[in-house]
Amino acid sequence: MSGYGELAPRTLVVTCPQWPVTASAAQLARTAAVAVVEDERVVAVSGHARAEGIRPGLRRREAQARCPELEVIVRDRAGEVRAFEPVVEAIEVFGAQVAVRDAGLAAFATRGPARYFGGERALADAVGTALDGLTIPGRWWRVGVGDGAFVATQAARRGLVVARGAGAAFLAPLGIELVGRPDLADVLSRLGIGTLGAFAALGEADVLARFGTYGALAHRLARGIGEGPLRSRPAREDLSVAVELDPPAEGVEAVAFVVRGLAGTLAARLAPAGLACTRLRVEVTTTAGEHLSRRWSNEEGVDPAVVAERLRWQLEAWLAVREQLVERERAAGWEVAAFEAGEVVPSAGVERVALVPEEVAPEVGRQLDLWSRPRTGEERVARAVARVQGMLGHAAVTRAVLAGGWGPGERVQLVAFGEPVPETAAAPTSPTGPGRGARSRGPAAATAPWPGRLPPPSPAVVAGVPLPAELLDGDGAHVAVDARGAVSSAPASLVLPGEPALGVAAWAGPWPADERWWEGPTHRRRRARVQVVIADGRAYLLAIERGRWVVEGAYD
Amino acid sequence: MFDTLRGMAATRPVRRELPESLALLARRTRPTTLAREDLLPVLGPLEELLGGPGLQRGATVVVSGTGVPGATSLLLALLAGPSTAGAWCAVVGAPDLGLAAAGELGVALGRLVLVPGPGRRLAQVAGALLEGCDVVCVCTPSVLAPPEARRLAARARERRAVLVVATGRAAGSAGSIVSSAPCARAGARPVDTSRTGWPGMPDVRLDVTASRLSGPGQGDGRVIAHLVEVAATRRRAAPEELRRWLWLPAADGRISLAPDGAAVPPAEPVGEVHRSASGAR
Repeated sequence: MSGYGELAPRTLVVTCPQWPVTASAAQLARTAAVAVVEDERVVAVSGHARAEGIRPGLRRREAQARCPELEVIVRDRAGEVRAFEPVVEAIEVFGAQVAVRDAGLAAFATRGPARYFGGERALADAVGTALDGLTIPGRWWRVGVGDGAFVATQAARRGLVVARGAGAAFLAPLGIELVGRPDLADVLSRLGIGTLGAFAALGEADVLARFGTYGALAHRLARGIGEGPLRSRPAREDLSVAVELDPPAEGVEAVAFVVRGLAGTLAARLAPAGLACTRLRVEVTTTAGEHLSRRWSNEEGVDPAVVAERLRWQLEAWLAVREQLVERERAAGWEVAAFEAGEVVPSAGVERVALVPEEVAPEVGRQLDLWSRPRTGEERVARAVARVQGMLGHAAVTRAVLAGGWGPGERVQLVAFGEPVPETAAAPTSPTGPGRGARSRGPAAATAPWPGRLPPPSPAVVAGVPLPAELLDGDGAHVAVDARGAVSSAPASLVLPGEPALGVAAWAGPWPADERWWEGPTHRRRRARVQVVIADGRAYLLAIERGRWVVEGAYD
Repeated sequence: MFDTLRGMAATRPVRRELPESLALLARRTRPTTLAREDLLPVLGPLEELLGGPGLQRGATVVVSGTGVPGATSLLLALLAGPSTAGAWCAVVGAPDLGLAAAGELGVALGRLVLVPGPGRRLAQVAGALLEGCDVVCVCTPSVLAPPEARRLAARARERRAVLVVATGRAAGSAGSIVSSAPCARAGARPVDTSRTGWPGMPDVRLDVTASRLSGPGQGDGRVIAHLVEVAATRRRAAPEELRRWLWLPAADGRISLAPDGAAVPPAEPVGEVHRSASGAR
């Protein structure tokens, strides 16, 4: 059996095609074109959207142009993990060591269970039946068996059981893009290698020489022999890291912060040994004595930063499951410990978190510097910001980027710290993206001319939510701005909510602006701005739209 | 070969630069840096108010403006110097900060960390940011308990960072424009923030005492410049205040020192306010 010796162990994969769509909008996807986007790119599409020509990888704008009634949903990774958690729990009944490779894709070795169920096909059927009872029912799921996770994943998409050693023949006619490395697939297809079979036919040594270990691994996948037991091996030495939390941590954010440090410690232990962790077990112990554990696997090595992120989603998923249980018990009339619905707080504190590498492989792709770089100011800041994000959530720490716009608030765009600056981003006032490239609100648009914009100095205080106000003339009548941009009468007093009328000492303007007219009548805004100085020295920037005055900012 | 050598000799630094490099060497080899020499650069017009060529690392600076607009601009001007010199600044608890104005006054937005809503965890957030940022500005200090405030100041001293505290209406700290209004509510006693804003005496206290906005007339002109009188009190200096008039910014968009408030001819004397005029004295 020397021919089979190299093959990866038989693996069963449960997956859901386009999981991000199913996880966030399973009901909607049945009747409407739905696309899930991340960083302005489409990552998953529903069947109806696919029929409209929407493909993963498209820009959001392009997708909306192809199908204007497309429902665009922003990706929620934590939600995906949370929705996947019941599925993993259902599969764990069948096989030991279920490894989650990504949300929406779980795998386990079939050797034992297949014998118990009387064959791999019977096992696959049993798994399929077990998934029927879930909230995201069985027919969404695909089950497949093959040599190693790669073959099994492709088999699962087609609902097949691929026989031992038949992986190469099964994969041969499939497209090269399935290899999962877009850059490599792009090069290969330009070289005229369009299928996995054509790629597999190349010599192993040639591929290694030309594309390095990165390409060689892909070549192994294309040949149907899997990621290979050759590289990964069970961790012989104890590389696990654990931390006892005293006092026990309450809340996901606190635990996630601890895990981030722990993941760093693990990376520091693996790096000197030249190892990458390909399968990692995460264990959490609560004060109530519960042990929660989950395996994550990735043949290219699990990045500690990614581990920390995933564990956080995992915790949210566990807590969400528990929340459902509590709800069920409460509905059944049981007395449940104080538990605030809707808030993700564990009923018991987390007292221990451990990361246990189960499978390791020699680290091949990256080699760290001999001397680690000294920590620069930027890294120190990133660390401090990560701590704050651990306390308040990722989006609570922001950076400001200058963007194009008229109002003082619109000229600055807040981006969550650590996220790339979007090339073009939607205006805060309009739910859709910009209409034309030349007027897009990107950093490049900051220097473009915006007719009607006030020259500097800008107000030092800008109302996040414009504050309603009333500007009156000497007779107490509402001051209006007509279509030509002239005031109906000179303003004499300003009324702010909760304050007596303030006398206007000086005023300037109005500056009319015709905004977003290129996006059609629904987005068009006509505003006029006026600077008003109050008798007591305060100065405000007011704007009128559809006859209503708001305070946009104060010169402070 | 000799040609090459001669060529190299010609490119060597000339001799008169030597004393400067020696001075640099002496600075580098000196065993310690005195705390008062460990400075973050500030804008020139602010140097005199801060009592030196920079902002002393480890110091706590209180910026306030009770009853007078201009404190937010002063705060931004204070951040502008370190920020342009490459330091990282953080602003905690100022959801209404005008970031376009910050950019115009010279704050490098790429190195500005914003935490608009720290909620009740203001102290923890500011403490964490002091670990990494050079200047951390806390804009809602009223939610800090005095021990927390003292701990933050100690943390800043220990991490060689600068803690800037904006009290009163600086940075729209009260959350909205109206509630940061200078006039005390009818019937309420005027609150002295020098007592309630920050426990103990900060290293430097900058107080906006008067403000003039020039530009708007009766339907003509526009806001072009903002003149502000700042009173500085330093802990390790003479107890009397130092008062200076600053353009925040001047008509050319820059921050500069006005010769003297009394001598400055404001374009239009509108929007002028003195604290004394509002009846505090």
